[in-house]
Amino acid sequence: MKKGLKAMTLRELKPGQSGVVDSVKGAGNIRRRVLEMGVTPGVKIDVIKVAPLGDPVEVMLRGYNLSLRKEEAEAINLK
Amino acid sequence: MIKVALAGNPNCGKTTLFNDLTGSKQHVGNWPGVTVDKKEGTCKKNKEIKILDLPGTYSLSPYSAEEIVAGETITGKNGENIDVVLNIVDGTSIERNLYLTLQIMETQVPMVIALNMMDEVEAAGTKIDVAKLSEELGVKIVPMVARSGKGIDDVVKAIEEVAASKATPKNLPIFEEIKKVEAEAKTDEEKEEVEITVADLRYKTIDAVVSATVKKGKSVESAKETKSDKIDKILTNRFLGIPIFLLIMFAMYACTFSENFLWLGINSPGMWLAGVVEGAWEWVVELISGLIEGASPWVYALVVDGILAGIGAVLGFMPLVLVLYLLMSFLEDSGYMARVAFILDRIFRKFGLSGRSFIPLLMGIGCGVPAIMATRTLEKEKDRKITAIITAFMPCGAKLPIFAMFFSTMFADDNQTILNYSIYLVSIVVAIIVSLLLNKLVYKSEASNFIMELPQYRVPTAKSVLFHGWEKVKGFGKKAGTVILLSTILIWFLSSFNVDSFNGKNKEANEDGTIMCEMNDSFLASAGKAIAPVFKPLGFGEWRPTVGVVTGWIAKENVVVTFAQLYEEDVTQEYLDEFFGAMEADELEELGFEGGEYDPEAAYDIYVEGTLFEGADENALPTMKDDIKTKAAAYAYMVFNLLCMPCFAAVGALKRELKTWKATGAAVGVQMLTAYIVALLVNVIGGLF
Repeated sequence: MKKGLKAMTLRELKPGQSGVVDSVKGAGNIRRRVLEMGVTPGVKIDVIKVAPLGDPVEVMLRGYNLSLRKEEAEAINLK
Repeated sequence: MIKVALAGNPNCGKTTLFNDLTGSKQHVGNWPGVTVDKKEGTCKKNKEIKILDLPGTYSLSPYSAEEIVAGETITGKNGENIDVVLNIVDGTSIERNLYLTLQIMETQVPMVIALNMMDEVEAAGTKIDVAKLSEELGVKIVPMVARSGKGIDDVVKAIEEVAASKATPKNLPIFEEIKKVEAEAKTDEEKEEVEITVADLRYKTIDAVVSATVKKGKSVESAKETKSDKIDKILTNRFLGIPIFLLIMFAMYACTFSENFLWLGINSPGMWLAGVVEGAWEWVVELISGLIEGASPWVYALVVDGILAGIGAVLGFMPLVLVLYLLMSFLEDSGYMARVAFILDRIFRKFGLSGRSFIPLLMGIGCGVPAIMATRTLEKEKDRKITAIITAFMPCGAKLPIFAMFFSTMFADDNQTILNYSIYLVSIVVAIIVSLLLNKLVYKSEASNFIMELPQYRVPTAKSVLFHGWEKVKGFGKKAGTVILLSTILIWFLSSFNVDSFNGKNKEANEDGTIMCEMNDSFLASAGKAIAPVFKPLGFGEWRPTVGVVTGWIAKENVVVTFAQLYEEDVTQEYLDEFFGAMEADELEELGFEGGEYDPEAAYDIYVEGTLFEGADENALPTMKDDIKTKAAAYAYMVFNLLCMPCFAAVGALKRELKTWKATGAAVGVQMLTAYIVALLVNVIGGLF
């Protein structure tokens, strides 16, 4: 946790940066989907790029590429 | 007989494996109540094996139509008695793929794993200890490459063995654990928490299994840029991404619909092929009509104007469906389609649609039939349904003659360019509003998300692309063909007969002794008179415009043809003689008069299709203005034809995509209601000025 007490989220990472998942928050359906796609605590995520219009973002985890919106990325807390 | 269900993630090569196993022996049906294809086939290598292709899903949690279908089939809840589940796993993203595998294992059905993309796994330097993985899971695993067909025989052999032994997968300790925590959850909140715990538990198990059996190659570990990453850097580039996308869309549209392909003055492959098919069909029609020339006039008309015209309509659309779908399959198989959604999501999610909806909507400007068929490539059922409905609102090529006729006659003094743009604007705005309303009112529970895989770019195989194209054309012919044929015959019947056809009065009155009648005395005209008052508030509540709407359902340009027929006093031989008489020879030649010489016999057809379709006679159909008096009413009539039920061919395509008559009826209902409301607004608001 770099910024004092507030946990860092996946949304704050820039392309080229990476982080390790701490926990996943958010609404039921979306949270479940994120977990099912392999975004579970302890997984390393690389941010690859942001879409031309600024959203969604593309990340890489578990050897594959996943896209998610920024609001969804915000629900993923990093260690 | 051995019944096999094929399960796997999207983009893992499932369709390719299914095609490898079954060849052309497939049957496409539908799962009850959802717009998900149900494909079944017989195994080529062993006719005793029947394979059922489940929709591609990442999990069996019952939250989407695809997941419910897959889950219920595997557990036998929907009456499919599955003997063996064939689970295809993409070796290049084995962890995420094994999530579904664990869920299937939990049901303890006999299963086989086809470990696909082993060529790419090896190329990346990754080593998978297949024997050990098989032992850990208690499931037979066959390494293979679906694209090249390598390992297919072993897959068939493994299915036979497992079907005989009925060996169930290993009952892993976490399955008990999952059952326990699931049983403990009582409230909805607890249940939600449990699902998350369970997902985490499964991935923990997967991590343990994978770390014991898979040694990732150096390139994977260091996240080195693959060829796919390099391609992606360009195709979804911050600055180049959108221009490249628009270029691809333009090329796709041009290949399918352009009559001046790449400014070469030639037809696009789609239009060329459509021309060839049309020409061949005309030849057949001539042949058949020659054979039945002696038959009574109504039999002759039934065959030529009803049945043959109906079949011709189906055939005429097939080349467009084929060409567009070949291109779509190419984009889909290459992995670019997922990026289309990625690039456009930011805009389209505001309208409650997927970025992929852009393609059907754009292609709808050419022709709604292939465009509606193209909605199949959308990932979510809700998006497929909504996009199919609003694609029909696009001003397709066949609707243009209607606008041209009204713009030239009723709006002669106004800016034609602005008028033309206004039609496109209306269709786009209405499409967005209807999509938003359907999202709000009909699909209120579905929260949108964009959590999806961006698959690796791959060169599509010709076999797969051709197969998809052919399958689509066949599906259109079979499913949409009947709708088109029957409805064309019905409208022909209504427009050519009346009560006197069946009491002998027509037979007596007509010189040639036919029992048929002119359109303005037909059942259709009577029906038009009965329905017309409904359109009073829209400004065109007269029987002739009403009949125009109905014949427009056969093909939208028929509205103009029908107007020429019904306002016959405006298209007399004298009028035509005078109209064309004022023209120079080269003008006449351009319009289609042979040798630039005026031919009174050819004048009528040339006037309708050359002049009215193009809006080239400002004084055309003066009597029409008695029925459609104001500009507001004329614009309302155009908008109504733009938005109401599309042609029968498009309705057939809708039926093909929406699967049930109920859903198709509801879609047409939405379209009719939209057309009525918008046309009413146009007439009322336009009337204020």
